Amino acid sequence: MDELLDKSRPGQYVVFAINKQLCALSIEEVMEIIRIQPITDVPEVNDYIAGVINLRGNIIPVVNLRKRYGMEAVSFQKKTRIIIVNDKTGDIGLIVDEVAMVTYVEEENLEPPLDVFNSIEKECFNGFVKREGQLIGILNLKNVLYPAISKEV
Amino acid sequence: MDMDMSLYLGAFLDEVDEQIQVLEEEVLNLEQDGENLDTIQRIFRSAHTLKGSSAAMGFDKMKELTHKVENVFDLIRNQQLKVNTEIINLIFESIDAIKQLKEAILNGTLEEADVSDLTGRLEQVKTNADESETKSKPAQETAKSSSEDVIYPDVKFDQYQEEIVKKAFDMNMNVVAVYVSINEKAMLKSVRAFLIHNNLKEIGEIVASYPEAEVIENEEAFTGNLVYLVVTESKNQDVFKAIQGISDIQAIHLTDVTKDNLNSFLEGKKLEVTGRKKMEETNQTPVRAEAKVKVQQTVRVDVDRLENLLNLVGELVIGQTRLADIKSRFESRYPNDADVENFQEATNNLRQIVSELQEGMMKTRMLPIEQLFNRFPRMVRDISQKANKDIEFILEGKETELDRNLIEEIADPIIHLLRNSLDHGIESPEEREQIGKPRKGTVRLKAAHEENHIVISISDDGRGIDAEKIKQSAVKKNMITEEEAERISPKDAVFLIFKSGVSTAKAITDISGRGVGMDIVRSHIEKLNGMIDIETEVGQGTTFIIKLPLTLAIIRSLLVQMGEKQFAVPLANVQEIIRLDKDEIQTIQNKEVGVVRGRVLPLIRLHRRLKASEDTLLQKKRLFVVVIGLAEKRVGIVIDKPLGNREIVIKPLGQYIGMPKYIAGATIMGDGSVALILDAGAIVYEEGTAEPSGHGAIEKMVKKQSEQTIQLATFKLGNEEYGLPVDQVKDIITVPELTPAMNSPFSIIGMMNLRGNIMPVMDLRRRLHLAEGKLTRKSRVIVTETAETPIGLLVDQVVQVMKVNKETTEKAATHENKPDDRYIQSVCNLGERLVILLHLSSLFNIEELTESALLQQVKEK
Repeated sequence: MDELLDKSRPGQYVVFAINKQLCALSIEEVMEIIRIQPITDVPEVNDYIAGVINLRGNIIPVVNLRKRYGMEAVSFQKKTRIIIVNDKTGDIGLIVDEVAMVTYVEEENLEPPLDVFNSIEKECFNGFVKREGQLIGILNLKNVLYPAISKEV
Repeated sequence: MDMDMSLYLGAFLDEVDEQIQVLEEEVLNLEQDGENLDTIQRIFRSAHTLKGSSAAMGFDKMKELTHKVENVFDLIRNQQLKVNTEIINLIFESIDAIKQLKEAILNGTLEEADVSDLTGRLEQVKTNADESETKSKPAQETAKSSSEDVIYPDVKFDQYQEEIVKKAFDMNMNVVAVYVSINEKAMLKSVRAFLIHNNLKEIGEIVASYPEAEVIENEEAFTGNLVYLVVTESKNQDVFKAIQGISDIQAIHLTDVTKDNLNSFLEGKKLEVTGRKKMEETNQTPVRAEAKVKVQQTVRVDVDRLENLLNLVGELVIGQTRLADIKSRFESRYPNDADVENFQEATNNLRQIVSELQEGMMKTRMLPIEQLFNRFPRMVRDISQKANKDIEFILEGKETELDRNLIEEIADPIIHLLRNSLDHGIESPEEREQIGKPRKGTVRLKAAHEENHIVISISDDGRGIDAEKIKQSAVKKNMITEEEAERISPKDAVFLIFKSGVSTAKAITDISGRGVGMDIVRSHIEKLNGMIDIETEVGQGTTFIIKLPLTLAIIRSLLVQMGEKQFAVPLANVQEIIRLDKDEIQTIQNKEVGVVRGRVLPLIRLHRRLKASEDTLLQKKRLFVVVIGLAEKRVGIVIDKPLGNREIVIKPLGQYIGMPKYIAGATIMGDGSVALILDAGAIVYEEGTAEPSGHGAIEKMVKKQSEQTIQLATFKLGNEEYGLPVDQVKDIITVPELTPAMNSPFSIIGMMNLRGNIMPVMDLRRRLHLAEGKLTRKSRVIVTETAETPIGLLVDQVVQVMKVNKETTEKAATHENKPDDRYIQSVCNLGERLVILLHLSSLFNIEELTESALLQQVKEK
């Protein structure tokens, strides 16, 4: 499954924004999208892990994508959402600034990852979607959740 | 006809389990008590049963093996063979092989199993014996099978059955007495009886069955002869056909019950069944058919399903707590609203149901610990033999129930501790004799419930753990410095065995002694939210005490506030909550300590680590401290305030987050938010290691402090503040119901019952001749402890418990003419307030009390 998702394929994508950068996740990876809710932070874990939330009785870890990319953290807004994705360890939430849309991406709009990107971007993106003149990065979920090089950065 | 093989297989496997149990127990008995005919008989019978049923099921290897075992015991029974250790060991090996065969049957790997070696050796035993004794007797079991007559149990209707039969007559139904005889040599007779029962039930109603269900279930007592009374619409041939197909049935005989012969059934007379002999007198009460089959009363449920239900109940508990939160908010907002009261009632009712449901669910997962304990006698025997020890192994509290998951989880630690006790706890018989102990060492494994916990203890009367040796070993392994070793208390030293690598065993055996393991035992138990403690005395023995929660999923915990956050501390670890003045906290070696009742308590602040704000803490003058403990170790966690006890459902943080230090998991609070559970065990263990007890400077400090200060419980009568030394105060309680006492002094207003102790209550206002006061919500009874009986003192309000410097107290000036001054010991000047210290014994002066009573009586007249 992981290998399958490493390569971007046409299909439905959830498009969301982090610090104005548009990113996308295949809808197959997304379990649900919920509003931001109280997060209990857990001490002594990676700082991009914001903490845990209660999702209908289950404790779910939440990753702050801004912090994951070393961007400046902002306070949560009305539009802030948590995208629940499924990982081999269970459900995990990703905090994003807003969810823009769910859209179908055609084969011809897909672009492979570009070499010019810096390492953190290369690590995180599987490819890109060209859409109305914008580039939407398709996230490599595995690398987002398990940063291999984050310690060096 | 439908023949359900799995029913057979299940029954067969159960039987194998049962018989293996019997075999192990009896063989152990045999080894201990020598050749006891009863024991041998039981073993023989058990092997025989196994042989028969495995043959019936077609498991030839097991049949073969059990047959050989049976042969050996046949020889022993006929005294052609003497029991010796070699034979016992061989038998145990065979029992193990039977177990393996059973597993193989379960796993479908029976083909691979090989028992030829064992059967060969068993055969060897037999041939050896045969050679020495020329003839061998045939097995006894054939002796009785010659009798042709079948003895059916007595039939006697009770009133209920009689009515049913009469009703059936009215409805023109067929009433038949079905006599069935199962082949005497057939195995699993009970199973066949159930089959008959089921088949009969399909064609009609079984009104009665004989003998009783218990007899049928008991393979040994059950003769295989059955009588059913069936009411049916079918013809007799159909009834006959229904049971005919079942294998191993020797005879079926049907007798119509009619109005004419009904009386003979009622009177319990024997019906004339051709060629049947009269049965010897048996005591039996007819049972109704429904009550018969015990097996049907239990349902096997997938554990996952139960787990899921338990989780849901956990959610329900959370939801319930949330509702209770809302309820109390409504209560305070609308104190006199009728609907709020209804709501209150509804939530209370719900709470009741939820807690019963929770308890009920919990019980479904509870199993007696017997399951686990029964494995040990055999293990103990094997180990003690290997280690050349003579050991009496005592099991207690087998019936104690606990969560099935826990039973599995706790097995390894217990095994480890048992091995320890056996291997280097108990001395060799020679050594024991030399030091005047009985040759036989005693190891006791005990389980018991204690409040919401289960306590498992493993004790031996062996050599005990020598703290000095542990210290040396730990120093040698560079785990502690020599300096530390000198300071460490014996108890703490003993606890060093829980560190990896420390061992006092002189020799490493394959049983234990490598010094690994105890640390694993400890971490294992702590993982289960349990605690382990050691009590040991050199030369006397060692007891390991394991304390576990009854269940893994739901625990009681103390909720605490730290900054803006809430945390849960497992209540099992909480010793007490105390308040410390900030200026009572001292800093020693960069560590904060408080002094509680003369003991040094290391304090830790977790706020920063837990990312909680310290603002509220900084504003406070007196700090709340939760004292958590693990065995002798204590650590105080500084908190903002305690929030009360709560049942919480432990939820893991998940693999993604892992196991942050000091966090045991998370739980969902009443308002839906997530609170973290502190890992009290780890905190005490980590922070408690540096416990600076025994440090000269601190001891001096403690001593100085206790010399200079006294601790007072202060209370109010009107506007005056009074005090009593804390050591004279046993309890402070709200005013209970008082029973008037006859003919008592004026100031004694009645008797109260405090946890079973009856004691007088004195109105202190009356005693001190102050104006009468009123009972209010703040009124309290202070239970004092003087030399003889405890007495309760009624006061207006309790203020606080505080430490005062002795220098602030002044002796009260005594005036002969003011009698009340006698009760005043001294006055404590605290600047803005004065506290009057009372003199208890003069308050309780009997003569004076009676005198004042008389005075009062005179006054009243």
